[in-house]
Amino acid sequence: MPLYPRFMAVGAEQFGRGILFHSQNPFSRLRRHLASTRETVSSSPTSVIMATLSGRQPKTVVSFVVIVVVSALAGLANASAQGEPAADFLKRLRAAGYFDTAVSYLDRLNKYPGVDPELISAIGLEKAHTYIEAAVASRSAKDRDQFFVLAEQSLNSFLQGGDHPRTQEARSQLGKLQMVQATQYMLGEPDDAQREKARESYLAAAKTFDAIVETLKGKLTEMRGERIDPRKEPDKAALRDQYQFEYLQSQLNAADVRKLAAKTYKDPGKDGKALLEQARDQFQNLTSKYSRYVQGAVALSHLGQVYHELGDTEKALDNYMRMLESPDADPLRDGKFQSASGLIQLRLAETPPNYQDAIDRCKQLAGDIRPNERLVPSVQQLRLDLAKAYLAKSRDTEKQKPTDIKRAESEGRQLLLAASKVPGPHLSEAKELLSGMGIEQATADLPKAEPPQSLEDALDKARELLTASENLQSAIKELEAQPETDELKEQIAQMQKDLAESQSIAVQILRWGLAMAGPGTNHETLNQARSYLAYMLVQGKRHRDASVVGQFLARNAPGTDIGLQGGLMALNALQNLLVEVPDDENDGLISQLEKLGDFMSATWPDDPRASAAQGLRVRLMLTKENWLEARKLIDKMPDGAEKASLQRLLGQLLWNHSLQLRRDGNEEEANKILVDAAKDLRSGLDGISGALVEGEAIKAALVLSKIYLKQDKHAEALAVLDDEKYGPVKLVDKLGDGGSDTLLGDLYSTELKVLVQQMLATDGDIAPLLDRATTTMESLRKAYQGADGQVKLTSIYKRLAFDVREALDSATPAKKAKLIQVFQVLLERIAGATDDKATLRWSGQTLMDMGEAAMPPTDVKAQGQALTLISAAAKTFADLRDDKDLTTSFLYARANRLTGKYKDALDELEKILKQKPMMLDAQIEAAQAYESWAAELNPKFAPKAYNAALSGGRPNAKGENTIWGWGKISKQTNRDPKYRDVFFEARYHIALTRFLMGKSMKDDKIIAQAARDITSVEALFPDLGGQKQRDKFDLLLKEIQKAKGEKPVGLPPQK
Amino acid sequence: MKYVRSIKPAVPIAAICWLLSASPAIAQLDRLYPKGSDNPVTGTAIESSKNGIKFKTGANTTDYIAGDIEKVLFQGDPSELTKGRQFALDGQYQQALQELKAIQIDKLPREVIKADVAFYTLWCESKLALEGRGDKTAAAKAALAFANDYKESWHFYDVAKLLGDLALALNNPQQALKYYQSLLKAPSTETKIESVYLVGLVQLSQGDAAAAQVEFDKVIGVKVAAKGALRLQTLAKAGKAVALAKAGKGDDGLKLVDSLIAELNPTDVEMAARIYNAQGASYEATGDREGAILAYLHTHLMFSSQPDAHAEALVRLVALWPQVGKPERAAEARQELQDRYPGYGK
Repeated sequence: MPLYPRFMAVGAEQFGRGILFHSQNPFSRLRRHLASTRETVSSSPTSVIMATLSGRQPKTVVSFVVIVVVSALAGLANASAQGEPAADFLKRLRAAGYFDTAVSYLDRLNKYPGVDPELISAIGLEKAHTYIEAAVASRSAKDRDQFFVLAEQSLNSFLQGGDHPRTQEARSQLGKLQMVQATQYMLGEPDDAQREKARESYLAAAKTFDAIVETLKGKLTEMRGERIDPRKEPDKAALRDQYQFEYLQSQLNAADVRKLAAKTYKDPGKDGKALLEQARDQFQNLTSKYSRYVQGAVALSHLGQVYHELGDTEKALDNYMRMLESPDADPLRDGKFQSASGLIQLRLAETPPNYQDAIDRCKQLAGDIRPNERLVPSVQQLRLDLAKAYLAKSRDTEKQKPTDIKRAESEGRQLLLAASKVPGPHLSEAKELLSGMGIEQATADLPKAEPPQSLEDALDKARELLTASENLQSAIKELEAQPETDELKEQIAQMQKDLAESQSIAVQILRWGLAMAGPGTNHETLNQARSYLAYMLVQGKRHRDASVVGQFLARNAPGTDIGLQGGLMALNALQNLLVEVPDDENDGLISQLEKLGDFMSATWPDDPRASAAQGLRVRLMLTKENWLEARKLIDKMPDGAEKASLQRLLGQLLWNHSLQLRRDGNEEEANKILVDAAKDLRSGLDGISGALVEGEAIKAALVLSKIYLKQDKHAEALAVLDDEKYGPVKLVDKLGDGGSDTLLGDLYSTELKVLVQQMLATDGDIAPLLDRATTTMESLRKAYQGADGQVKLTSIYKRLAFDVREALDSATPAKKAKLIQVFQVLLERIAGATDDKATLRWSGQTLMDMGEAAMPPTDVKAQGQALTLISAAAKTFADLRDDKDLTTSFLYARANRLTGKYKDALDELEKILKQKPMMLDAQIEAAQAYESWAAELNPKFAPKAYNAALSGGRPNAKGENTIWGWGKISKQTNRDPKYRDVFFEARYHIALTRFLMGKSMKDDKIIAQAARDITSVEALFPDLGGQKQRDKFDLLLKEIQKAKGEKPVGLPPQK
Repeated sequence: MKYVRSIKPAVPIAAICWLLSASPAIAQLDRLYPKGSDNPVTGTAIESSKNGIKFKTGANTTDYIAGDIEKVLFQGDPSELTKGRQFALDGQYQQALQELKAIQIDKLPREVIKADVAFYTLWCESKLALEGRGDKTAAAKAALAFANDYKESWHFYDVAKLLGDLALALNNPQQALKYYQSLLKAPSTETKIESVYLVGLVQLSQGDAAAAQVEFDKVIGVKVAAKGALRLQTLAKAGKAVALAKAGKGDDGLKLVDSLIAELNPTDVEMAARIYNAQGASYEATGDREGAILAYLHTHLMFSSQPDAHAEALVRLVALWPQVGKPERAAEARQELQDRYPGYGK
C-alpha cells in the first residue's frame, strides 16, 4: 500500500491551491502541499467540486465514487491488514520529525514481513517525500539545501527506474521541488545572479511540467479510444480521472512557473514580457476550455496577475472580478484572496485612489475568513491591502464624515492587528502601518523588568514606579504648556517614552507579583496589587486589560473601597473603549457595562460613585436618543445626586429634540415631548440636595423656564427663574466664572420674555415688572459686549419687538392701548437708561412698530397715540443716526414721513440714496413721501410734488434724479419676479398719483391717463399681482371712473 | 452475600447472595451483556457469585460465568453509574471516576448496584495507579477491601487479577503470583489460561526467562478455538519472544515476532504494543539498536494507548536513543514518560 495513494490527484488538487502562494514563503507553501498530499479522499475532489460549481453531475463523479469506495476498502484492508503497517508508521515518523529514522526505516523495509510490494517499489519516491519534509522542517539553510539535493536525487533515481504507477506523482514532485528551489533564490533581496538562478529553476520546472502534460495527453488520447465504462472497469476509469486531473494541474503549474520566471526580472512587464505572454496564453487556454474545473477557475486569478504585470489594468481587473464573483468553493478561496489583493492594489493606484470600490468588493471576503485560513499568507496580504484601502479612506477628510473616518481607521487597525499576529513577509509593512497609526507593536523594544522577589516586593517597586510616572506626567503637562520648540518637543517625546517604560515595567512587575500569590497571601496586599495594576493599565491606555483587572477587583472585593476603586477604573476603561469602538460594534462593551453597572449598584448601593456605571449607560442611551430606555434606567436608580443629574440631562436633551421636531414641522410631537421634558427637569431640580448648585443645574432650570414659557405658563416660568435653590436669576452670580456670556444672554433674554408675557397677562400693577424688565435689559446689555454682542443683542431685541408687534396685532383695542402704554414707558426707560445703540434702535423700532400698529390701515399719516409713538421713535432715531448706519437713517426718514415731516424725510432719504441709489425701500419711502406731501400742499404746489412722486426728484450733479419716483421704481422692478409685489404697488401708485394730480389740477386728461395706467397694466398682467392688489386697482379705477362721470364698473372680470 | 431489594438495606454487605422476590410486581428488568455481543439478555439477575450470575429470563434461568460477562446494567442504576461504567470499560478512567464519585452510595436501591459502583471505582483508581497516575498502595488496599466485602461478586476474579497487577507494579512478585494463580480457580477456561500467561509474565519480570518460557509454552500448547483464548496464545508468543531474547536467543525471538507481525491486527492495540516491544527486546538482544528503536517507536507512535506497554517502550527509548547519538530524543521520551506516567516504575 503506497503511502501516497494512487488517487493522490485529490491531494494534488489541494497542491494546486498551495502553488498559488508564489509570492509568499516557499516553505509555508511546501508545508501546505505536504499537508495536503497526506489528505485522504475526504477532501473535496475536483469532480465533486466542479459538479457543485456547475450545478450538474460531471462525468467524473461516478468514477470518483468508485475511487472512494476502492480507497475506503483499501483503507479498511489496511486497518485490519496482516503485516507490518509500514505506510502508517512512516507517516508517523515524519510527523514526529524523525526524518533520519524514517529514511533508515525505508532502507530496511525489506526486512519487515507483510509490507505492501508497491510501497517497496516506491522507496525512492518515499525517501524524496521524507527529504522534502525534512527540508521544510529544517532551521538551517545548509541542511535545507542538502535535503533538497537528496530529494531531487531520490526522485531522479526513482524516475530512472522505469514506469511505475506513481511516476507522474514523482515528476510532479520534481517540478515542485524545482519551483521551491527557485523561490529560495528569490528570498529577501536577491542580486542579479540569484535572480538568474531562480529563473533557470523556474524554467526547468516549466520543462518538467510540460513533459508531464505531453505524457498525459498521450495517455488520455489512448484511453479515449478505449471507451472505458466506469461500471465495468472502475479501476481504469479512476486512472483516467487521475490522469485528467494531473493533466490540468500540470498545465496550471507550467503556466504559473513561467509567470514566476518573468517576475525574476526587475521589470517583469518589460524584460519578462515574452514569458508573461506565454503564461497568459496557457492560463487563457485553461479558463476558456476548462472553466468547469478547479484549475480553469483558479487560472482567472493568475490571468489577472499576468495582466497586472503586463500593465493591462482593464483586463487585470476583469479577471480579478470574475474570480471574485466565482462560487464560494474551498479550492477557489485562495485565488479569491489573491484576486482581492490585486484588485485593491489597482484601485488604490488610481488617481484619486478608488478606495471605496476596493472596500466594497473585498470587505465581505476579508470578513469571512475561516479558522483554517487565518494563517494563510494570501489572507495576510489581503488584510494588508484592505487595511491600506481603509486608511486611504480615513485620510480623505474632505469627502468623509468624522464618524466614517473613525470607522475606517478602526477597520484598518483591526485588519493590521490581525495580520501582524501572523509571521510572514507582510509583517514589517503591517507593523509600519500600525506604527503610523500610533500603535506600537514592538513591545520588545520596551525594557524588560527584573522579576520581583515576592508580591510585597512587586508592590513596593510598583509604588516607586507609580510615583515616578506621576512625576513624569506632571512634568510633561508643564512642558506642554510652554511655547513649542524643537528642543521642547524632543524633551517631551523622551519623557513620554520614559513614562511608557515606567508603566510597562510596573505592569510586568505587578503581573509577576500576582503570579507569586499563594493560599497564604494576604488578601489586602493582593487586592492592593490588583488595584495598582488596574491603575497602571488605565494610565497606559490599555483599556481592555484595565477593564478586566478592574472588574475582577470589584467582584473580588465587594463592598470595600478598593473594590469600588477597581469598578470605577474598569468603568473608566470601558468608557474609553466606547469612544474608540464604532457604535454598531460596541454591543459587547455595553453588555459588560450593564453587568458592571448592576453589580456596582447592588454592591455599593449607598455610594454615589457606584451609580456612575449606570449613569454611563444612561448617557449611552441618550447618545443614541433612546429616551425610553434611558428613562427606564434612571427610574431604577436609587434617589440621589446622580439620578437627579441624569433626569436634568434627559430633560435638556428632550428640549433640544423638541426644537428639532419643531424645525421639522412636527409641532404636535414637539409639544408632547415638552411635557416629559418638564417632568424630568422638575424631578431633577427637586432632587438637588445641599446648598451648592452647579452650572449644569442652573442651565437645566433655565431650560425648564423656557419650556414653561413655551407652554404659556409664565408664572411658573418666572417662579423657576427666581427659585431660591436653583433659580438662575438668583444663582447666576454665584457661578465660578460669573457665567458665560452665552448663558447670561440666554438667561436675560428669557427673563425679559417672561416678564413681557407676564406684563401682557397681568391685570394688576405692572410697575414692578417694568422696573425689573429695565434691570434685566441692562444686564442683557452687559452680557453682550463688543461687536458680536451688539449683533446678538439687536437680534434678541428684534425678536422681542416682533413678539410685541404680534401681540399688538391680535390685542383688543383696550389691551392694545394698555400694551402701548406699557411699552412706551418701558422703551422710554430703556432709552434713558442706556447708550447702547442696539437697545436704542430696538426701542425706536418698537415705538415705530407700535405706532404703525395704532394707525388705521387707510392712514398714511399718524395721529393721536400713533403720532406720539412714532414721534418718540423719530427722536430716538435722530440721536442714533449717522452716515454709516443707513438702517437707522431710513427708520428716521420713515418716522418723519409718517409724522408729516416730509421735507426732513426727503432730506434724509436723499442722503441715503446718494450713498446707495439701489436701496429700494428708500426709493419707495421717498416716492411715498412726495405723494403724501403733495396731498397736503397747496394745490398750486401739489402738481409739482405729484410729478416728483411719479417721475422723481432731487437731481444730482449730472442732472439725474436721486429719487426715482414710482415710474422708475416700476421699471426697475418690472422684470424681476423677486420684486413682483413692488412692481404692482408702484404701478398702483402711478395710477393713484396721476389721479390725485389730475384731480388737484382738475385735468380730465390726466385723470383719463390714470385710468389707462390701470387698464394697460391689467391688459398685460390680468391678475395684477394677486387678488388683494387687484381689488385695490379695481377700487381706484372705480374712483377714477366716478371722477370722469362714468359708471364705476371697475376692472373687467379676470379671465 | 445476599442482596435484598429493600428500602432499608438491613442485610449485611457480606451476605452471600441477594434474593429477589419472585413476585412479578417487583421483578427486575436487568440487562446482561455477554462478552463480544452487543445484544443484551433482558431479565432478572437473581443470584451473584464469584463464578458468575444466575440470570432469569421468563421461566428460564441461565448461569453466566464471570469471564463471559461484559457488563450488567441493573434496573435502578443511577445515570452516573451507567456513564461511569461505560467510561471505565472504554479506558477513560478519569471521566469514569468523575461520574462514579458523584453517586451517593447510601441512597442506591440495590446492593448489587452498590457493588458495581464500588468495583468500577476501584477498577479505575487501580488502572490509573498502574499508569503511574495514582497511589498503587491505596489502590491495592481498596482492591483487597472489595475482595473481602464482596466475596461473591462476579467481579471477584477481575479484582484478583488487578491485585496481581498492582503487586507486580509494587515490586512484590510473590504476592502477584499468588493473586494470578488464584485465577486458576475461575470457572472460565480463558481466565485459567490467562492465569498461566500472567504467571509467565511475573517470572519474566524476575529475570527467570526459562521458567517464563515454560509457562508461555503451556499457553501456546493448549488446543483452543475461542477468540479470547487464541488471543492469549498470541500474547504468550510475544512473551515467549521476550523470554527468548532475555535468554540470548534474539534471532529466535525475532523469527517468532515476525510470524506475529505477519498476522498483526493493528486494531488490537495491546497485542500490537506487546508484539513490537517483544521485537524491540529481540533486536536489543541481537545488538541491532536501530531495529530496537524502530520497534519501540512503533509502540510509542502507533500503539500508545496501552499504558504499561507504552511506558515500557519509552523506558527503552530513553536508554537507546543516546546510544545512536540522539540524546535529545531520549530527553523527549523521558519527558513524555514523566508527563504521562509520572509514577511509572516507582
